[in-house]
Amino acid sequence: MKSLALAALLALAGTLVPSFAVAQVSVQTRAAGRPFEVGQAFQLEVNAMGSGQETPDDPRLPVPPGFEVQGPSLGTRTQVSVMNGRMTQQTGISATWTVVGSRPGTFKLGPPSVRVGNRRETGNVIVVEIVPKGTLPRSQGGRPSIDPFGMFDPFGTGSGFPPGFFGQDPRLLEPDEPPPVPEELRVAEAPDPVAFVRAVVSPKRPVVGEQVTLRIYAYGSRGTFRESSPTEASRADFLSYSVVEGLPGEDFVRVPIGDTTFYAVKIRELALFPLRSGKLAIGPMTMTFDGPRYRNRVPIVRSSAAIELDVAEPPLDGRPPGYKLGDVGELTLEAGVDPKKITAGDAVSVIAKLEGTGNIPLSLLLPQKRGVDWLDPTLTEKIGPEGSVIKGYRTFAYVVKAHEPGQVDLGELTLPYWSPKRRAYQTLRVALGTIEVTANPNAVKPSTNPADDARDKALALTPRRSPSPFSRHAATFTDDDRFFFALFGLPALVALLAAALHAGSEFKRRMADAKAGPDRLAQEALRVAEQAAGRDEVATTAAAVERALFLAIEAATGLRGRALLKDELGRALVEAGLPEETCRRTLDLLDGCESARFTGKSAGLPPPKLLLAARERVTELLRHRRTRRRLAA
Amino acid sequence: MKRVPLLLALAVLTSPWLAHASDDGGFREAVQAIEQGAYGDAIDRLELMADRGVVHPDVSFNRAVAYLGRARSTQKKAGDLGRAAAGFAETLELRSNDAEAERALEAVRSELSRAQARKGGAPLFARPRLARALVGLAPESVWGGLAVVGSFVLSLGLVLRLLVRRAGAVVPGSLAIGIGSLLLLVGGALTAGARSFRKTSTPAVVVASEARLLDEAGRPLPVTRSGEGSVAPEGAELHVLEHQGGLARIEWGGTIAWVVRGQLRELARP
Repeated sequence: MKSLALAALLALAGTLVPSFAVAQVSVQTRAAGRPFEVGQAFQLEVNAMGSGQETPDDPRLPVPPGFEVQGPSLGTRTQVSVMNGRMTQQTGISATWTVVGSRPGTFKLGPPSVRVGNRRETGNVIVVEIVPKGTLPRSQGGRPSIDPFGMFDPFGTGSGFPPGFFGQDPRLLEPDEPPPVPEELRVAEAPDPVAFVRAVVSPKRPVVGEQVTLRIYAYGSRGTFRESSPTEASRADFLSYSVVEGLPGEDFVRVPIGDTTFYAVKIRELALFPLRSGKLAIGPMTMTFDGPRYRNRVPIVRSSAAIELDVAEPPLDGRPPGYKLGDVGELTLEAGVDPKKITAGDAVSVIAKLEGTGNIPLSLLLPQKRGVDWLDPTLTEKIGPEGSVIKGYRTFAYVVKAHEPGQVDLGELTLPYWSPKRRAYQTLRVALGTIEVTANPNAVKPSTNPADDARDKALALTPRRSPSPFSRHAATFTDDDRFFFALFGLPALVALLAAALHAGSEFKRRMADAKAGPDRLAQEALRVAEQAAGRDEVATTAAAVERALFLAIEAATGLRGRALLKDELGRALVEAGLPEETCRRTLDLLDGCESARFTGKSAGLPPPKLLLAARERVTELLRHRRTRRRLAA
Repeated sequence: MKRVPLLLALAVLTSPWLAHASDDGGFREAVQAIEQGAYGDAIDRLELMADRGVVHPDVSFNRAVAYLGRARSTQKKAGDLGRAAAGFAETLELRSNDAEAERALEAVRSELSRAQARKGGAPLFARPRLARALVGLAPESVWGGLAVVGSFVLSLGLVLRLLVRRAGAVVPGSLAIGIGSLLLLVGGALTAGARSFRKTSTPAVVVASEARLLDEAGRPLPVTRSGEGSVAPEGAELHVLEHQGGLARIEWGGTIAWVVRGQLRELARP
């Protein structure tokens, strides 16, 4: 109802009341000059324009009790007018309030005011008539209209009684003749036997800025219904225009789905323009099915499915320079220049009209030349739904100043855009032609400041005419992890090598020691003794056994026994920790060997026995050496 | 004949650029547009080259010149000087020894700083974190080279100390071990730091009038009187750490915050 009232209000284009202009600021108030119903929203607009340095702001609207005010919604405005080559520019704001009256009567709203610098400028008081609910025709009040001239059926119900007088509102009863089912309403399978809401988008893979039409249909199997408590589908990543809003009662279509006949109606149609690429979400729309046959203890609330659209950018290949993402549609451009002859420093007006369907761009590519300045354009537009398509025009009014005399070619206005029909980029071009600029004898040469000059010099750069050789390295040497291994690995390798060499030399030394060691020599002497014993040579065997024993003593205790007397050797062996028994036996054997060596006779110890005894002593001594080493370790 | 290998090497080095140049051919037209004062046209052409993935210091330089030209013309748009600063900074990222770009960047920053001072806004430069400041003292390759030298000196010292068994090698060996270890540790740590910063963050420049610093939920950080810590001014150089939807997590000086992604221009790197 509210939106209908707003639309009606805007269509009626209310009264424009110029109030006054003080200190170069004018405040104009605009509202519809007709009555409104209680609870019906209407808009009140204030335009405050100033031509001085101070821009109006902080708009306020005082209202009497019983009015609810929302807003204001603010917009900035720039108005440029050129008359005889002289340009005047005004800037300001427009503030729009949405007002709802809660009791009937005639009321004075306002006066609205704006702040300009440190003072407030006010506009005119608006007189508004609020009438009781239901007293205005449907087209005005958003309510079923009462035709005062329909003598027998003032309510338009066909019965002469108000709707619902005999129970069911006839407008909510089944239509008499089912119309043919449009393709868009056909559904293969009903997701719910009672009611459901279905959302459909097309196209499914749009580009940024391409129109996507979202249609939402409601289906009910218990007869016609009303929409209540709707929650609109969220669409944050889209610019949205409403094509169909609300549920028009007479558009129900009977749709057979399986064995059930549903009553279907399109409840929303939105033209959406994706604002960015990626996976963009359209949320579910939720509504409560309301009507005599839908009154349950639990309300019948249904939602459409959420939709995810895969939005891409138009291709990079073939993209013309200056293309702005989102400039998509089917467009035409025309432009005119006036006047064609001016004095240097004055301005011409260039009016360009961009017309077509889709997301009509907000800017054009301007020709740029030295000595020609293009000021920001003033935009006027009329864009809205026409059928299912967003269509309209946008007019760009430019003020173009020419500073240098002569024939000045203004160049051409261009606009690259993506055409979804052709699936290709198109570029609109409009040549603006030449204007004649005559010299201005009163022109003043701007003075320059030396400091500014120095700064200008630093910032006055010339472009590089040709690109110099350049290679883009994908990665630096430090990107490779092996760099760090090598960095720390090299010294570590050297240290390891040194350690290995040291260990090798140590091993080598020990091997050499082992070869010349007394224990090894003792074994060698035993082998010599064995050979001599095999030949039954008593003296040689005894000499070898004696040598083996002394070497075993040296290996076991570190004592060089040959340098000691027998008694001294005995004490030394005991002090070295050898068991006394071992010492005694060893000394006895040494005695035996000594006599055998000198006499050449065995004296009770034949060479094999001598050898056997020697082996036992040597083994015993060397065992003692191992025990000693173990203890030392 | 002697020049053939040289020409071949030149062709190989410039082949990435030539591949793109043959596709676009927009470079010369952009230069002509700048010379005719048609900065918007030049910007459109050079930005299109960037969109197509052309990365070249001279393209970045000319783009900066075009933005600078527009900023000084009657067609100027908010953020033009910031975009010029971004172009020159990108030129230096790609070719660090470009003296002209360095001078131009300095001049643009001075201009931006003056404008900020007039407005009483936040300063253009924020004191960086100590680690980033240390790493930023020299390029990553210099730190890498230092670490390599340190590694070799340390290795030499170890050879002298451990493998050469002459008395005269002890002192030089010990000295080399000390100096080499120091160079290796310092160079290695700074190389690792520079590599980590390079891989985890991208330099960027604010190309809007100012970039409001936000928290993770997109709420503005508390405003300070000078704007410091709550706003990054136009032309401020910062580092982007990650993206999340339309926001970018940035490091500006010691501040970590979020900003709207469209207010930044991330710089291409070699």
